[in-house]
Amino acid sequence: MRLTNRRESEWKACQREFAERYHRWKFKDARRETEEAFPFVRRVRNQTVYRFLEMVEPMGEDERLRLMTALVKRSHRFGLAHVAETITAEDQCLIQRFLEYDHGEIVHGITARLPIVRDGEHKQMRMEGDSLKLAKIDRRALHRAIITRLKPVCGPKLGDFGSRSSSYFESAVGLWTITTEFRTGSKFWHFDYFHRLLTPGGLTVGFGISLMHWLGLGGSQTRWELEDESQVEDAVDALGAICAHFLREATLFLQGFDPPKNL
Amino acid sequence: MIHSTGTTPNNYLFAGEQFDPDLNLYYNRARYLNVTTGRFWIMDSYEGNDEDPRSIHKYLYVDADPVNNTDPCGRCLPSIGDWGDIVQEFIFEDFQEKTGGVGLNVTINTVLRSTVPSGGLEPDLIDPNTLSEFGIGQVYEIKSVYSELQAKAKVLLYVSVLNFYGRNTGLKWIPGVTYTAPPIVPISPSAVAFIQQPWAGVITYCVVNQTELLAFAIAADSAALYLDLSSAALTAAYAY
Repeated sequence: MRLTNRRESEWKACQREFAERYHRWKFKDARRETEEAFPFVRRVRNQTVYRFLEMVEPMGEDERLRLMTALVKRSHRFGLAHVAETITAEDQCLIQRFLEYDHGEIVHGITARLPIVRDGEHKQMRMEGDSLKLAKIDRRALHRAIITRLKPVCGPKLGDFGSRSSSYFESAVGLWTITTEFRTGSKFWHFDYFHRLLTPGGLTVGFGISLMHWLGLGGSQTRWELEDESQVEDAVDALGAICAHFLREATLFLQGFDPPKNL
Repeated sequence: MIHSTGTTPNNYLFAGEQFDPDLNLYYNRARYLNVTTGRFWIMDSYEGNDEDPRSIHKYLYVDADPVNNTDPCGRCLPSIGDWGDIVQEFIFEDFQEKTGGVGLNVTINTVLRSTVPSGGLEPDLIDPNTLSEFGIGQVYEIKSVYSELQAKAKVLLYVSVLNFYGRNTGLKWIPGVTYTAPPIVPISPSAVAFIQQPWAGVITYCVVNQTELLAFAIAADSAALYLDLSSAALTAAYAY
């Protein structure tokens, strides 16, 4: 059954309102993350994060803030249209710098995103020659560990979409439902997650919400690439902390904004 | 196209490639293809993969499977090992940054938030955002040029399942059209992939050897220099 015209226009109005609120909150959270020297970003393990941290290390706080502002604007163009903001020439310049840094070295005149190898905490080696390497981790144990960590934060309702490697939690925030969906079966990374905002009738109003997305660093799925089993515990704990942070904040930025009950 | 009507000659026939009636061969940019024998006129410069004997054959066209595969540039290396994965991951990251979409290990069940037949399928790229104002969601499949037809079939299947079971999601799903993929994806210091922009939800890539490309560039430069010198010498000779 397709949506009626009335429901459709109510749904779109909800999407616009959410986009605006979410967008304003993202700036606030990007500022917090920058001022505290990226505590959540540092706990995510993937190549984009390693490159980003390497890039911002020599920057002063002012420059970091300008970069984060530009990145948040870049990844939320849908939101920008509703808050009458634009990407300035300076923003564009900063975004370009980030992309060039993220994409990496020049090989034979072509930009190559070769693996970043760092000592200590962020040491990571994925590509050797022409092959892509991902450390072997017990995925079932990883999945169980994530469920255990997220249950008190995102629960109580746990479900799956017909796959053992893909599960979700549902939390109620006012009339809204916020899902926390995670997957542990990818051949590209060890696990990833995102949130979704749903109306009482199950229509999606916000999709692909995760740390990397709201900070403008990457896409909708924030993902972890681990080096070995010893990193599982910290990674799972980081996921729990990031989800708890978002759910707490969402309760605040959704205040006074409820979906129509019949939607 | 294998047949045409009318008087205007159409030289773009098999796999959309240009046919050279004088040589009775198809020109695939790097090599001429003889469709009668199903073989290229000159050897493939790709060394091949030991584990796949067909890839070692120097004259075979698209792994001897022209029904399912095409080789538009004549230099494409078969999608072996992890190259495909590297290309997919690179495009996926770019896609996520540009559209806020999801993919790679997200099933149709996850998109629809239910469990439906064929819901375990995983479209490579899923974009519910870009055209959401128009009530449209888009899906894409990334494949080697060797598997373009399979990719087209997969996209149609994804769209059918999403539209059939997702009728109350408020979105009509179509093969993707709005995303612009990066034209070149670096794979390693020895290989790059050229990306064909999405067409009806299908993004194809062609892996080529960088050293070979470099040699071509040098050869092309040398040829241009030789032509310049020759024409300069001729001009000087006539002027004198």
